[in-house]
Amino acid sequence: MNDSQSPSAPVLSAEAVCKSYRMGSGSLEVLRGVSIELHTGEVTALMGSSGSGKSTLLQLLGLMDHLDSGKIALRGRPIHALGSGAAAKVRAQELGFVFQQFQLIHELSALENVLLPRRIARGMSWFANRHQERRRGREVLQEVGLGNRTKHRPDQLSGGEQQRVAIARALISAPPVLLADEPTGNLDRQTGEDVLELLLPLARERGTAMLLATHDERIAEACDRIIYLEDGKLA
Amino acid sequence: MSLLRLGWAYFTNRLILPVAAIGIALGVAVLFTVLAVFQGFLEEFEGSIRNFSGDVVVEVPRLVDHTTDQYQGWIEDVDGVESAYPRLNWFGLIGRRGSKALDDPRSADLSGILMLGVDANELPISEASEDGMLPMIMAQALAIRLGLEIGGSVEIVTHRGGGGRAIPVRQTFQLVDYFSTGRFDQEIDRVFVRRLDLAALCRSKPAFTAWKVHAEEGVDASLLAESLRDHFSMIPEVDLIDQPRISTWHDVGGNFLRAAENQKGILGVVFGFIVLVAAYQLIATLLLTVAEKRRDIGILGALGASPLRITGFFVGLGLLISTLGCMLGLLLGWLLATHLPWVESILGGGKPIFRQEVYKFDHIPVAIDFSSILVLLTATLVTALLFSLLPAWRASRLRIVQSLRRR
Repeated sequence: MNDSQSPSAPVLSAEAVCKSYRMGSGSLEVLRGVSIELHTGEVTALMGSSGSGKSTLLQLLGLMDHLDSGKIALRGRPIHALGSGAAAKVRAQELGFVFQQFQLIHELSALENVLLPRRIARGMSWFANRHQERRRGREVLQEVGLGNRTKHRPDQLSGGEQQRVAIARALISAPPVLLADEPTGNLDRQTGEDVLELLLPLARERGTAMLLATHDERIAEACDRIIYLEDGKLA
Repeated sequence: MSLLRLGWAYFTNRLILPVAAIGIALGVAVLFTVLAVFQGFLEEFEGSIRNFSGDVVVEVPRLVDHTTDQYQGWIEDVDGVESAYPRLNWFGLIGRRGSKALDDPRSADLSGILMLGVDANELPISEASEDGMLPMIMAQALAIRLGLEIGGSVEIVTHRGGGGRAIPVRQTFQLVDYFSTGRFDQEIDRVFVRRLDLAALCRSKPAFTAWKVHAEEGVDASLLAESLRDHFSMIPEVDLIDQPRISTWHDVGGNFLRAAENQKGILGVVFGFIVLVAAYQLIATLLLTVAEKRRDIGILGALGASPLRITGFFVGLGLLISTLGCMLGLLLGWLLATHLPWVESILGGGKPIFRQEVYKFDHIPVAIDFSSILVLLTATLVTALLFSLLPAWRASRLRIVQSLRRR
């Protein structure tokens, strides 16, 4: 493990996580006993070549997939064996995601995309708080520099703007953990840098523990620490 | 519910969803119209029977010499009777005055007719303006067939009562007014005359053959008929030789009414299949939406929507489509039902499709029965709900990671 020790208790921790996929009659081991800790306000770069298991690790930490063995804990509470409903609740309330492909819903405006996690988390109480939530959504969009683009749909925005909307969506619920999977991978160099210049300070300001998967050294250098994943193990 | 905004966004951005709603709307509209027409038909048929024959009909079985007052007293003694009118129903043959056929009743120039002898308190009939003629009221349809106008005269050949050999009689009547019931079958072979005129002509004793009985408000005709039967059965045989035959308006409507009721039910089921097909289309549409929006389902899952929530979202989407379809269908159905003559003229190229000789009414009766509409809406929405479950379940089963990989 190339992980520097932090004095504070980890927000999110993984211990000896293993994951393999069935490939015909055999299986492909993607993660082989990975352990990691994420701390409040710290941005961790997860580096590795394509196919090294970065995305798989993020998916497991984000409770989007099931691990074969190992443990994942959020603030010391084990979450790796939660049922689908409880796992969804954790994703809604305590985890934020930024994807390489932005993953915005094309039928919704920028503001509606940003508000989507709030609608999901709030359920029926959304209606009672919708004005407040909308105001918050506009504020977050303002923070990412899209205050004047709230009504635009994703296809009316550039790639960089779409990723900003995705960042705003990830941050609106102020999650303690943010998982970003190659957030600049789909952007040109300059736009990618702009997005990072926005994302990293925002995460730090909010005290968010962030894990950013990338294969770009320059991006990793901008993070607080770097961990390397090779052949399913931390190097 | 909070994801309804996304459902609405899908609905307004994907043509296939409004098309599914239109499919449901067409089914609902057709069913609405069919139910409205049949309900109208039944209600007007009921109205015309009750208006024409009363809620209960008391038929006197034999020409026994009871007085009108005596019989009226027996009927009005029963609780729930609001009014009772004596009638003298007598068959005859009607022909234009001077027709040679009047001398040869086998001629096709004569029509069978039911003369309804009524009192002025039921239907006032003014005096004939020419001496030797008796006044008569008939419907315009019959008058046109006979080539008659108000003031014109017809002759009726009938027979005298009183038992024994029937003696033919012939009498000239003057048309003094028209009546209208809206029902062709009632209008084409019936005429109203004054009861006492008819009793004198036919020498009928008593001067009535039936009683038209109206029930008090809120009194059920069947129960009233039962009370009347009980009451008559208690009258000593010395006073009442034969029990009268007592029927309700529903019995008078007979097979025709029952056939119409059955037909309404059968057509409801048949056209219900249209709604079922539309709901089936909803399954296909939602399954297609689940397949096409797989990435969005992954996004919802990643953002914290549980499988149950995703199920709810797609069921909600199905209900949104069907609710909008129902609303549009109700509007369309209402427009169709209330503009049927226009629809008929379009479909028939200006010629009537619903001929009054066949359908009995001179118009297409329509009545919107809200309980039927409520049943229709509930059935449609419940069907849509059930048919949304499969696509919703499939959506909830999608794996987030695989779904997000879809571009």
